[in-house]
Amino acid sequence: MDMKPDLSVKIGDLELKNPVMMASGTFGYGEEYSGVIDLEKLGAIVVKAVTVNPTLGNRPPRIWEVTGGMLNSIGLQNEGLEYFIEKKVPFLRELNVPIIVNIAGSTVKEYKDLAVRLNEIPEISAFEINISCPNVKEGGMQFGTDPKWTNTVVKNVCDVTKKTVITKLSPNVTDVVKIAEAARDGGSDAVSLVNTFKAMAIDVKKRRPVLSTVTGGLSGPCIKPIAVRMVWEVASKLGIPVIGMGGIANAEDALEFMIAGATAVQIGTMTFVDPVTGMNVISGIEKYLREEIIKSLKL
Amino acid sequence: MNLPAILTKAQIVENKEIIPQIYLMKLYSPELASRVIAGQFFHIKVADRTDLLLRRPLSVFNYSKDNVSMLYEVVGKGTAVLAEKRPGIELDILGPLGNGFSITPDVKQVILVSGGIGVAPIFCWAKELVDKKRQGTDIDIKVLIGAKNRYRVLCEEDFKGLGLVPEIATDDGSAGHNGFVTDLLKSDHCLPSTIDHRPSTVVYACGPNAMLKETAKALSDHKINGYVSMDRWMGCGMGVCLGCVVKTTDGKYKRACKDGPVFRADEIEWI
Repeated sequence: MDMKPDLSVKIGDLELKNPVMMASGTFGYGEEYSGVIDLEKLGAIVVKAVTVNPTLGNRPPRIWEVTGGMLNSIGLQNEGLEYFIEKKVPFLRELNVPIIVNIAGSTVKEYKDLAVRLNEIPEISAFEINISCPNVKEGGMQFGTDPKWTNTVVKNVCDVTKKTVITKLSPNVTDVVKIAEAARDGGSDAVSLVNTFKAMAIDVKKRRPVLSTVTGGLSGPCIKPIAVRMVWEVASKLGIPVIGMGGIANAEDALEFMIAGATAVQIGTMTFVDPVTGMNVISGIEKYLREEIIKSLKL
Repeated sequence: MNLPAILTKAQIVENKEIIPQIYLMKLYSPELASRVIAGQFFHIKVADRTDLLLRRPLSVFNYSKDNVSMLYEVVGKGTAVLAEKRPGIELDILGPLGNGFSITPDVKQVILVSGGIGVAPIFCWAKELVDKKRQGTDIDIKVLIGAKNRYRVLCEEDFKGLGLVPEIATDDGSAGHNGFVTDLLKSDHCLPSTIDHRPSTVVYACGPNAMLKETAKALSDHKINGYVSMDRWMGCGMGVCLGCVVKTTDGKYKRACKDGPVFRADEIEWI
């Protein structure tokens, strides 16, 4: 007997028709991929990090391919909050898909200011607090590697919004569970992990690092087993939804994260390789549920 | 307005080595052929290999009703794998991407400057310009080709086939001018200093960064408009990863894949 499995999941107050989101920084503002995939089939879109002021980003070279992944050091380049609202939100608000805005600050106040301003836009479903960017000098990962700062940033955002709040965690810590707990205690509805691993590659001919910033963030399939382990550690302790990511290339990868305890997943680097990765993950999860006779992801 | 990119599979019709390390690959794809314009590129998945994860961007060299072709140089492991592909194999292609070349109606003289493998998009643009000419647009087209030596001069016959006779410059003087292709550009017969070229002359260039920088300088000295096609490592090709940026004179970073790869020469902060 055939049945349509229920792929919907819930993150805080946010209902997703399926657990597959497009990760921040790898999907722009959605419209870039609108000609190639059907955006409305996605569980959610997490847009590129928004900062209060325009952010120039780092000097090139910014990316480098490594075995099983890539290094990046973009440095949160974006045109700032008001540009985002004026130029990017109009397209996003017409989409019938939850929009999650990744917010990044260099001070606690900036995170708060972002949340206050974006809170006015009803079509934004949730915030993903970026306290895990390894490629900026101020803020970013500094907040995400200290439980106290994590708690403070999260609290300041949660105080000013009733939208769902997700905190994106850095894997560059000794104990990710402590940071996740600090985010939860600050009021975060969920955590997403992992952001990129601080990493480095060297051009042996030039005897210099390949990236202008020396180190960057490692992403792609090569980080997946570490990411699954970290998701498992957090999910088994936390008591709030966990969104897993790190090198997901297909449904099996996504299911690994979900079996490790993730409620939902994000697709990042592999979208560059194959823009339809997210779509394939959705249909693959559905096929798996059918074959395994699982009626719903919520069970 | 360019047509949106598609994600498609295209069969290799031909993939042959023209001169050592330079390959011409022809793909059967009426879909891509009907969408692409000169100066755009295809983002190609070269292998299902974890050590070749990212796609590789290759400029369009030529297109007909049914086929598109790329002229590429084997420079690393990605292009080396591509060079091994035999006819009949299907390639996963994202494209066409990027802005491509354009021209305004007031232009009367076009100078095309290429260095090495940079000739690929330039030839495609020459072909489109010759088409415009055949349709009655009054433009004079000059072609300058730079290469290491006479064996590395690319596409001379192809340009002749379009009715254009390229001027050659080689680093060792084994063909044409002994020196840089930009020497030819700066020479009096190309850009006579006595004539005010603005705005009827436009230069289009593609090649190594040093050549483009020198081209930009020559254009600025002669107060001529020009465009350069920039080659950068790319991640997504769709304008989202911001990995391929070039610095512009307004102090910002623009995306080679989306805002380019063709930029105004005076827009780039040359380094």
